[in-house]
Order: sequence, then structure tokens, then C-alpha cells
Amino acid sequence: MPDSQLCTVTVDDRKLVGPADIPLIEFLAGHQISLPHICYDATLGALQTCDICWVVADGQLQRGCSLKARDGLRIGVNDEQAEQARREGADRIVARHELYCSVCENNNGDCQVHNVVREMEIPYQRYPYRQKPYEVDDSHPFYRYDADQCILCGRCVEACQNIQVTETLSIDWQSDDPRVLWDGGEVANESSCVSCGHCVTVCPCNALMEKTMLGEAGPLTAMPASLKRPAIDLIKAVEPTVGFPLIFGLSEIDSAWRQPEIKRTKTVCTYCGVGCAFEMWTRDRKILKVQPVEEAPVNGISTCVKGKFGWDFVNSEDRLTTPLIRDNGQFREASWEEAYRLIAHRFNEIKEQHGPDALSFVSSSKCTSEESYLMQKLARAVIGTNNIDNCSRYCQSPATQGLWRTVGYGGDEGSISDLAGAELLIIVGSNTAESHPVIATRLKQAQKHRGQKHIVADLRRNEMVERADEHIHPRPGTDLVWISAIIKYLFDNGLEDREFLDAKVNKVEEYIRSLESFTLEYAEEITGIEAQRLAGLARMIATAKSACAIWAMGVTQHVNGSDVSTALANLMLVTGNSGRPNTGCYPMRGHNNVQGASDFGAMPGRFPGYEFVADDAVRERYEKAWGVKIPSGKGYNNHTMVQAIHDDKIRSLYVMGEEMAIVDADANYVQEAFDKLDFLVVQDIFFTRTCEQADVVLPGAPSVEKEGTFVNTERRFQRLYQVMEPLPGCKPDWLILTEVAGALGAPWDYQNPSEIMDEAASLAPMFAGVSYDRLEGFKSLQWPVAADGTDTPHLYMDGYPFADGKAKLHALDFYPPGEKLDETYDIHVNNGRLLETFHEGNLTHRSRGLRSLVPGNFVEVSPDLAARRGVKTGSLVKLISPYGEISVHVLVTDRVTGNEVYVPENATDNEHAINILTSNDADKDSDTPAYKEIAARMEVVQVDGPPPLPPTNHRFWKATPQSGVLTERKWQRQDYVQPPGQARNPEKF
Amino acid sequence: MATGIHYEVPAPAAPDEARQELDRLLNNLHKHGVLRIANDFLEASTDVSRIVLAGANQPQSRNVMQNVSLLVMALGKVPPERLAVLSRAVTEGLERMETAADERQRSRAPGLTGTYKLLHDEALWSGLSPLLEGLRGFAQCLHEKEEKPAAKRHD
Repeated sequence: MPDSQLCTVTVDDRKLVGPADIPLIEFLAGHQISLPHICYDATLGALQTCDICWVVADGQLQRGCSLKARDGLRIGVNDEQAEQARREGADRIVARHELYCSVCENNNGDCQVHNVVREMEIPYQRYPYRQKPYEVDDSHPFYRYDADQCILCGRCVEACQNIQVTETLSIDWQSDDPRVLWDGGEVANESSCVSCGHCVTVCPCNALMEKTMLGEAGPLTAMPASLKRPAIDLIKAVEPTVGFPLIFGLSEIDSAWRQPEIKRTKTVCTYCGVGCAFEMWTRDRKILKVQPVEEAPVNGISTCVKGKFGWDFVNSEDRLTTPLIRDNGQFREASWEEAYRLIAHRFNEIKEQHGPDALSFVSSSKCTSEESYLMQKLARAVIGTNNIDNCSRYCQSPATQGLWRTVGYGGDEGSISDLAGAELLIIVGSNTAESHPVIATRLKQAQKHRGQKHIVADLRRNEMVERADEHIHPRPGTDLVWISAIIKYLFDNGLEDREFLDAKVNKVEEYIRSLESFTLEYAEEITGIEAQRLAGLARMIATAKSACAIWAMGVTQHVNGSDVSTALANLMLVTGNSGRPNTGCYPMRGHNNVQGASDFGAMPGRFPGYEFVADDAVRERYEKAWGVKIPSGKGYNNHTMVQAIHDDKIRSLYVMGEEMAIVDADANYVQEAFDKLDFLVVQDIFFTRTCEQADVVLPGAPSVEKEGTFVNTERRFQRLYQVMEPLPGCKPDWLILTEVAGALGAPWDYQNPSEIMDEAASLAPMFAGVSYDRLEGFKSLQWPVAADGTDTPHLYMDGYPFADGKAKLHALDFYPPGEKLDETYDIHVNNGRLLETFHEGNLTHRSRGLRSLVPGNFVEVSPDLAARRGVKTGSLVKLISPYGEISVHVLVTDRVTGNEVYVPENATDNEHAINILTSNDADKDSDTPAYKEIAARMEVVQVDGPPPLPPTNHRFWKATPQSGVLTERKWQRQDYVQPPGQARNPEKF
Repeated sequence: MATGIHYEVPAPAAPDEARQELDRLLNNLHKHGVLRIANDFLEASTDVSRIVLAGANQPQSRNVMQNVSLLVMALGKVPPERLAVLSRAVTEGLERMETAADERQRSRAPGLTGTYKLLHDEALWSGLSPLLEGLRGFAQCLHEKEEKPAAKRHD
């Protein structure tokens, strides 16, 4: 650290040198001086509520959390006045919080209240503890609030208001008995709470507690309530005689006693592509809780409802625990050896009869990068085919295509911190708050605290739209037109970044010529957005000092998905928003490892690191390493495999961890294709719809039962450690693939996934420096990673990966949506995710808590359409497209308008799954299905019916935004006395 | 042809929690070396017993055993009600000693007249008599020939 950033602070006559402008608590901690505190947290900042961290500075008492280290500062920590003030603050805390640590679920060594009282050697309870006039709030499915234990530190409020930015929690400081409120009310489950868990994570005691911890944390916490209370009363009767030290001795023993039982393992979330890492606390197979930590590089203390609470599926009773073999019209249990023998026999038979390209392989976006590497190696090296793909074909291949065309790498340009630091975000077709919730928190923070501007283009009024500074609602499938029109307007008005274009971008003039037809008037006609509005947006983008483009499935899942992705990349280049901090393109990767699956070669035309299989030199490298010949021709992708099966070109399919029968478009057509297969192998943790058509089912293992790495949407490698042993009968997917290859005669001998990563890193230059050692604990690396371990948090800082180092503008034409509304099919069916469910729901449907929030699938219908069709919330309707029909209950909401309806992906059966309605149309450049282009008609089956969402669902409640904890209102109370003055009612605040 | 077949995953057997706890206990006993020590002890019990006996048959060990036994037997001869009286008397005496110690600053030397008065204090002499008698018996015992307590007890 340069000297200019250091300062000298005199602490009790000692001169200490350290970083300037950091909270005094942190400064002192850097010198191994512990200043007791409870409400302060590095992420949350100085809340100033606990009144403990007093020091004397410049002759006055000041809180060490809000005081910043500066040169010349003189403070007294051991000053008598400061000690008295700290003691008074701590006495007030224990007046509000009943200390019954040995039977408390939070007595695990990290309880801040316990630790501060012990550290300060508080000898006894000076102020009597008094109960508050509130019952324990047990209403919420995932956590419990006990006002009697709440110390009113406000951490939960700060986390909700300013980290998660859902703005539900507050404290009623002016009330006679302040407490935490949810939307101003006393019932947590009747509020806008999105169950992200931030509040529980940051609670320094047991006021907010995960329900999975209750009665489970330690041997004594399992005591029945009927015994617990008398036991607490007994100890409390003795405590006035013996004081805190003896009682704390017992609780320290209890805490130590728990440690061997509680295992804390770092893992990475298995849901979306944000890549949240955290510690998972377990006792044997029991998942006690998910505990995010400050040092997690992506999420810090943040999680969403699924990452924090959605892990029931791991111990679901219907986990597959034995291989199954189709036999005489039914499945029978089989040994692994028999299953492997059958797979080897049938694969060899089909290969001999029809050639290697009659076999195909689908890797999983839920599995590790190492497992995708092995899947593509199995296809290429053992079978001899490039028919290998992964789930990114269903979502983000168009984005990758758009980036390859323009800037070069198929990944987000920078990091989430770049998104947070940008002056302007252009968010297109991304329901970020529900699909990538933790990234959304960073965007909402930037908007709330730093004035970041958001332009949001979306059909549906989701949270990002509600918070947008500018919202446009283009007609479905017309994004390319308004984006191109804005770019043309920029050029026409000299608003482009000419210097950047001249220096760093090719094909500029050619591109300008291609824009001729994209006038504002044309755009208005096609998109329905007024020309002047678009002009205003263009100027807004042009004047922003830094801008990022965010997009997701709303862009990619169209017949022109690659083109719209390209258009957004063009826009960023034209405005000079690339190759510097806080700029660039950010397609939001959907699944936990959809990036890694492609990165590690589960693609029909690319090896790991995106090198072409058609490149002789590259192919030779792999052939030499693997000792085989590899075909040079590009294979089938997920989507074209289905057609190839119908055309009898593919006879066998091996699907690992994908519910292809439901999540591929035109599901009926897919399932018909599976009927035609000679041999289908499905590897999964549950008996899915895809398994129904399998010949062999292999029981794999979820992320917490194995080691490996995931790559998130920022191109960031993170290691996941094995939290628990695989469920008996199951095997890690990398081991299954190794053994399948062995059964096929390949001499694979991987003992650990690290060996797989080492092999991949030795072959793919993009990952040359990736190793498990460099990813130890919470360390991470963003690709490309040089051999010396240098990674790349922001791409293109030194140019673009093309021959001359320049990016390219890519000319585009407008291709209208494939499915058009007409008199028969007059409803546009939009679709996508919900916060509380993931993809089709095979994992999240097995969480009782998540299911209580969203019990089933539904269709959102606008009030206008509902009135015209005579339906209301709860009505049962059929949605019928040319490809199939589903039945769903209606939810009338103004999130949708006119004849546009919205159906979540949330279904695992043909009666409710959205892909029964989708067509076989796909993006013309990447074959990603045009999921978002559905024309259907709506038939009313039954007018009256049960509402599809419970009234407690967060969507029905109104948040209570405020700037933070509002501690000043506490200080304004008439009975507040600043320590060391003694409080009259210490239990009140 | 792979026509769809539905399959119900059989419900897993309910975990035997008692067995799991027993397994855990066994595991911990093993991990902390308790089982090893117990097994070692059992397997070498003859040798270990011989060593223990040899160690116990030393003069010091014998003295410990005899002295502890004597104390136990002596306590056995005292009826509980007498021990209760004695313990109360000791407590009272201690309290008075404490009080006397506290008042020491105010006490003056008795002088010749005071000593003469003490010699005629009936209450004092009735309190001291049992103590003096006790001392007399204690002194007689000290002068007796040392014998094995068991022999003495059976004379």
C-alpha cells in the first residue's frame, strides 16, 4: 500500500500505522486490538446501534465503527470513560437478550453477542432482562423471528434495505417496544419478503434463525421446549449467585462440544449462473444451514431463496439410488457392473452397425466442468463422434455467437463489480431480480445508493422494470429493430465514440451502410416505441460515461437471438463501452455451470477453451494426448440431435443431468424422438420425465456430494468441496463417466477431479494456469488464465482476440418472429423463470418451503384480457398452440398487458410444461429454440378455481423502502441516554 | 423403441437412529483411543493384574490403604448423632473464634485480678473440662506401644 494511503493513529499512547479512511474497528483489528462491537459488519458498515464500540477521540466519546482512521488521530481505548461506556452498552444488550447459550442454536462459536459478553468479561446481569410483548413469529417457511432475543442492532434491516434492496424490513424506533417489522407489520410471511436469507445470515444472535437449525445445532438444543424453559429458569435462578463466568464456562463447553458434529464445507450454489459460494453446515447428511461468508468472491454475504434455503432435494426420499435397466416393459434394479456391461455392449453394437455418429451425448449445465470435459472426451475419444452438446444450446448460445462475431470471447466482458460500477445499464429481456437474484442486488444497490440509471426493455412488468429509470415495451421479437435504430441515430447525430471506433473497431463503414433502413420511424412502426422516445434513449446512452448491456433469455430465445445479441454488442462498441472498467456486454448465464459446460468442450464443434475441432493443429494436440483419432467434422447439437433421431441418423443418446424431454422446445416432438431411439442412457439424481424413456438409468450425485469446479457468468472458476458422501448407491458423475469409459475399453484412471482439471489445463491454453491449488478455499480465477496463474477479470483491456487486435461491427438484418399471432392463435405466450423455482423444477419442487411459496404452475393474464375472456384469478384455462396444449390456473396481474400472457417454466409434466406449446423453430445461427415465440389460443375450462399462488406470496405485498436502519430515530427517543449514562429502559432499545 | 415407462422410486427404509447413534459412539470411543485401551487392557489382563498387584504391595501403597481404612473404620465407630453434635460444636467454636479475632483489638490483657476471676468462672471451666479430658485421653494413647490396629481392636 502506498504511503499516501497510510496514516498514523495514536492509540493509548502507542503510535500505530495502517490504512487511512477505514473504520477504526478495522484499523485496530489490523493491529490485533479487539474493539468489542456487535452491529458493525464490514459489508453492512457502521450502523451505530449497539452502543458498544466506544473510544475517546479528541477528548470525546465516539463510536469506533463510524470513526475513520486518519493521520494524527489520538484515541483512548483503555480510557476509563470509554470502558464505562462500552460496559453500559453491553449491559443494555443483555437486558434485551436472554442469555441461555447452552440451549441456543446460535452457540456455535460465532455468536457475536456471546463473544462480546465473554470478551468484555461482563461479570453479571446489571439490568434485569425483561420479555417483550410479542409472540415468536413462526409464520415464515424458512426462518423464525424471536423479538425476545432481538437486540435491535438493525443488521437485518440494513441487509434488507441496502444489500438485498427488497426493502421489507424496518424497526419501529418510536414504538413503546421496538421490534423488527415486515412491511410495517408483525408477520414475516405476510410481506414482500423474498426469502433471500440476508437477514438471517447477518443476525448476530438467535433472533432470526434458520428453521433447519432449530433443535438441531447442538445436543442440548434438541431438548423439548417443555424441558428447555424450566432448564433455562433453573440456570437463571443460579446465575445471580455465580455470575456470568461460570455459566459462560458451561456454554463454552457446549459450543466446543458441538464442533466435532458440525461440518462446515465450502461449496458453490447449484442453481443459477451467478456463482454464489458459501459454507454449508451439516451434521452427517442433515443440512443445518447455508452460511455465506464475506470472502466469497461473487456474493459475499448474499444469497437468494434457492441458494439459502432450497437444498431439501439432496435428501429427498425419491433420489435414485441404484442403476435401473429397462426389462420386459418395466424398470428393474441392476448392479453397476450389469448397467456398465449393457451400455458398453449396446454402444459398441450401434457403433458397429451405424458408425460412431449414430451415437450422441448431452452434458449437463448442473454438473462440474470436469464432468463436461469427460463427457466430451467420452464422445470424441472413446466413441469417435463430435455429437456432444449441453444445455447452453437452450439459452445462451446466441449470446456467445453474438460475442464471437464482434468482440471475440464467448463470455461476459467483465465482472459483477463492473456492472455495479457502470453509470448506465441497458437491461434487455432479463428478469434479473428473479433469474439472477444476487446480481440484481448489486444493480439495485448501485441504483439506490449511487444513482446508476437503468434502461429496461421487457414485455413483462418484473421488478427490474418497476425499478427502471426508463422502461420500454417493444412488440415481441423486435428488439433488433429498436437497438439498430438507436445505433443509426447515434451515427446520424455524431454521437458515436469515433475515437474508439477508429482505434479499436473494424468494419465500421460497412456496418453504417447496413443500418440504412433502421430509421426511428421504421422502428416505431415495428416495435411500437415512439421515435422520440428512442432518440431520448440514444442520447442517454451516448452521454453516459460508462455503460453495460445485460441480456438474457428474452433476447436469445428467438429466431434472431444471435442477431439481437450481436446488435447489443454493436451498440456497446459504437458508444465506446468496451475494453475499460464498468463497460461491456453481459449475457446472464442461466445455470450454475452452463458457462463451464461449454468452456470444457461439451459443444459439437469446439474443444475445451473454444478451439475448433476442425483445426488440424488443435485436433492433433488432443489426438496425441488421448492416443486416438478424432473426427474433424462438427457434430449435432442438442436441438438438431432431435431431428437427427427422427431422421434415423442418431440411434443412441446419453443424457447426463438434463431433463431434455421437458426443457427442449416442442416437447411432444422430442419425446416422440426418444421413442425412436435404439438405446437411451440417462444419468440423473431423480427419475425424471426423460428417464421414463431410458433403457438404462444411472444414479448420479448432486453438487454437494462431489468435488469439482463451476464457472459462473463472469467466467470465474470456483471450487466446490464434497459436503457429504454420495447417498449409498449413487456415484459422482465423473466417476460414472470414468467407469463407463473403462467398460468401453478406455484406460481412464482418474482418482480425483483435480486430475481431470490438470489434464484439461494442459491441453486448453485458455485454462493453462487453472489448478485446484490456485482455487483453494474461496479463491477464484477468471479465464483466460495464463500458465503463471494470472487471470482476466476484465477482457479486452489490451485489445480483442482477433488477428489485428480490433473488434468488429457486424451488419444485421431483421428477421421477424417465426410464430405470428392470427385469428386462431391470438395470444402471445411469454415464459421464463420464477424466483422460487429453478428451470423445470426437478430440484426446487422437492423443497417443501419453496413449494409452499409457489405450489404449482399458472398463467399470468392481464386484467384487460381477463375481463374480455371472463376469467379471474383461479380460473382453469387451456393454452393451445399448434404443437400441443396445457392446462393452468389463471393469475390476473398487471405484470402483463393485452394479449400477452406469461407461463413460468415451473412444471415437470406434460400437462403443465410450457414446452408442450413451443415450436421447433430455432435461432437461425445457433439452433437455440425460439422458446419466447409462442402463438396460442386460450380456452376457459372452469371459471372458478383456487388461486395458483397463496396470498402470502411476496408478489402481493408492498415493500417499505427507507434509507437504512434510521438509527437517529433511536437517539431521538426521550428515554435514550448516550452511554456511559445509565438507561432508564435499557430493554426498549 | 424406448416407450415411456413410469417408475416409482421405492421409499428408503427409515433410518435406524439408535443404531446410528450407537455407531457414532463406537466410532468416537475408537477415535479417542478408549476402545484401544480397553482392548489392550482385556487382552493383557493377567500381566496387567500382576503389575498392579506388585505395585500395590509396596510399603507406601500399603500405608495408603491401611490409613484410608483406619479413617473409614473410625468414622464407622462414631454414631451419626455424635458426629452431628461434634460438627455443630466445631462450627460454633469456629464462629466464636472468628468473633474473638475480630474483637481482639478491643481486648485487654486480664492481669492478675482478671486471671483470678477466670479461675473462678464456672461456665468457662465446664466448657474447658471436656477439652481437657479429651487431651488427657489423646496423650495416654500417644504413650501406648505401637501395635497393629487390628490386634489392638480385638484385645
